[in-house]
Amino acid sequence: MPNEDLTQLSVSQLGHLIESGEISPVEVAEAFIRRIDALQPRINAFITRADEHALQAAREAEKEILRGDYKGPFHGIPVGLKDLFWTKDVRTTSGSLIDSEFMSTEDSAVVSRMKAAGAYFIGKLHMTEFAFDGTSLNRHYGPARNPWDLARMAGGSSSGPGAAVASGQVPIAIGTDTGGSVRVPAALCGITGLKPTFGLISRFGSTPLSWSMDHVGPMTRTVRDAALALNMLASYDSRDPDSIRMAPQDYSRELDRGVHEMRIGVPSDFIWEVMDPEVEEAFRNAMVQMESLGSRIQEISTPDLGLINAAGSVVQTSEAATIHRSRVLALGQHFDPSIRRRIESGLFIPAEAYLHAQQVRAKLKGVLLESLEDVDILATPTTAIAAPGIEQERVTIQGQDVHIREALLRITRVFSTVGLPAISVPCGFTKGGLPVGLQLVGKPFSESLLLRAAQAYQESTDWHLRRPEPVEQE
Amino acid sequence: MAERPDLTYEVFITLAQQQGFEMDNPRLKELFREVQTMFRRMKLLDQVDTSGIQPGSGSIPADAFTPE
Repeated sequence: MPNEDLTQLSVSQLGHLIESGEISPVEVAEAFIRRIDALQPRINAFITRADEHALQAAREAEKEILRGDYKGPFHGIPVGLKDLFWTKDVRTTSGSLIDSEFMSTEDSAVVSRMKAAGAYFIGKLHMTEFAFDGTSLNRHYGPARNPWDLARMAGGSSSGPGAAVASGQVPIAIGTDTGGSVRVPAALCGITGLKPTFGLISRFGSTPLSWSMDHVGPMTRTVRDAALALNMLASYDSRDPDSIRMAPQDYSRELDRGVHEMRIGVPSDFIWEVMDPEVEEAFRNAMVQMESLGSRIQEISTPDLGLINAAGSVVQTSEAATIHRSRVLALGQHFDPSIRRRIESGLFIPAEAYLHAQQVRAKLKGVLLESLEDVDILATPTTAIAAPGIEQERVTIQGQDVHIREALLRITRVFSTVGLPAISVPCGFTKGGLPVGLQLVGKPFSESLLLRAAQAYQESTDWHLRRPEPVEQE
Repeated sequence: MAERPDLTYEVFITLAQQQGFEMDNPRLKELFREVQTMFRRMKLLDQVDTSGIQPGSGSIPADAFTPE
């Protein structure tokens, strides 16, 4: 197999080839480095490359495998890291100027888990400043561009992970999701993005945005790879106060059991108040497909999801302001002005309003879970629109003038706020050739079922196999 | 719940002063608009009766649900 083709494979496929000895980890690393060389100038998915680190780690993996110490499907696999995961040998900027030279003294939990599985990082990926934006704009490092249309945004805040996986610069990336930051770029870039149940993956050693809403999640080409990544990453960690103590599970074990008789609920109201017709059409077609696979689709009433979003916004902004207060007041001129304003606005939220938002969150989480009693999973479009222009601030959707952040995050934020597991998989394309995402949402800790549903859909369609043409053109 | 009063520019400036903002900064007008948006969200949440509800967080007890 020509080395360039290696960059088009999934983790699962690469893992098989490495395990069988058909390819070496060093060949894999070299192929991805060449791909990054070719695409970084046009897509800008990386803030910091780690070529030497990657080659060294690949050589180590090769030696280990040759001496019979094969560690599993991630052994010798390069991973892209959103640039807020600490790596003790490479800077962690968190997409900011202020932390542009920050060197951590230890690795994040994610990096430790990767190393234990034989994986290594190949670079630190683009993100919006301190993860506080759903676009892919960054005034310090430039915008990350969408591989399907370089004039459009990749989505955020895990913009580099979305763009890098979609363009074959990494086979997998790890992002974080506070209001949709894994699923939104996954949807806009046409890849798979999983946000597990709150607390399932340790956040130790990742720059926080909002302690009670931050999640870590894998961004991959396939659902199978997301399941394998969850196997690698999910683990109790006493260093993260919200880490959940769970028995280890194999999330890939039941992937191929199908969706026969699975009950899928589709919310009847909030989602559709702001929705691009092309996105809705792709979603409705996906539901027909799920029905043809044996699942049962039913409309359900949910509590006011807009209120959940409002609670999430107050909580997130208040926590972000607490985290960044001293720096935003002393060094505010080094922040992007719009991110600075959003952080500063949190300084004006009274303690009782923050706590009331947490009460609302708790109450509506309970009501939402009750409304899920008669279904196994929920389905929605991931975003209300496909990828907007890089600098676009507003969009008109069926006569409504909507801010881009609202159009991108209003559906995903609900499920970050209540901590439920959710996955985005590609479910079609607009007439303009932009990917559309299908979001499936599960009950707490039902990742196996959620991944099974996503896998059934993905295996019966070919949206995830399409590759963006613009990046192949010189 | 008692209705939350609207945030006036004068009250905003007092609060900004307490937080340590530079008062001669023309940026404050833009920040005021952002803070007003946040106050509208707080007012929206004030409609929800939360008596007897403990403030939650993202945490979900692992034993609250049986994994599939």
